[in-house]
Amino acid sequence: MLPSGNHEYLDKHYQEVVSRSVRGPVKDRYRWVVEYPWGSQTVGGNLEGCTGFLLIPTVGDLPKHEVRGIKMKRRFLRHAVRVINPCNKTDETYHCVVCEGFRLWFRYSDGAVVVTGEEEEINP
Amino acid sequence: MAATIQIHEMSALATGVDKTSGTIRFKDADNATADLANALVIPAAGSIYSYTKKLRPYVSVAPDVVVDNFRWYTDGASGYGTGIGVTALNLGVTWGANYKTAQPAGVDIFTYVVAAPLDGDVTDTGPVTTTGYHGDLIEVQMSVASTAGAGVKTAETLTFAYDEI
Repeated sequence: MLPSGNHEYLDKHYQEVVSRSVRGPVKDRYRWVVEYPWGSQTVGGNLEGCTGFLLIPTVGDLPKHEVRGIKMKRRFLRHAVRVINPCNKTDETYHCVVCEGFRLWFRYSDGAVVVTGEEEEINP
Repeated sequence: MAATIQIHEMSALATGVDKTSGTIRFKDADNATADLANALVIPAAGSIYSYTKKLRPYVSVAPDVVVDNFRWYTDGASGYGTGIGVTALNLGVTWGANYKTAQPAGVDIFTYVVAAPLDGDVTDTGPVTTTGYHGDLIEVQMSVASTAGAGVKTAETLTFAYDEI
């Protein structure tokens, strides 16, 4: 809790409330599809043999991502949930695609992509 | 759709209230209400302690496959000021009543950071596939020394993180 009259705090809090109500929870801002020569699937972590990985935004102002032409190994989501001070840092989700030699991390809050080494971690 | 995990403030091993993106208020009373009642009073000498709080993850929407790798961390910097500390402890799945004496073996919560988090599934290990309470109980407590400054303090953030397939 902060003292009353803290306009910066209130403004940030208001923006976050608006953002959540309009765009929904961060973890649900994308859906994903893995494509194979024989079809597609939306469950599971193994990407061996896939031909494409698609991240499709569920809200209008985020970019779509399509990964093709590289060898992908596996995928997972990494979530961070906050408690005690929700307005200081907001919830975040990264979707990690582990490729041969590097990782692609797709950030759900704004659609940004971060590339790291194959063994490197990102913690929101 | 991705799983949903809430952070609950517990009143028993498997009973709690949702505090996700909410406030845990350290106070001189054993309840989960975030109000100004039962405020911690700066002692004339030595330290006093809040009632302990216990947190546990609650899976409200099950994952398609699994969730695991539960951990808790802070930004590593306390903004509470001189004389005020918060300690944390992994209790496993052993419930005990909350208390307001010094937490035995409690560790400064601000030493738990992204690179060295408090492990949240040591006893109740994953992977988790179903709804309900999963992972270990995390007990936290605030201490207030005679050197502390008065007033409502700027809140701090505790992050619960997990992986999902």
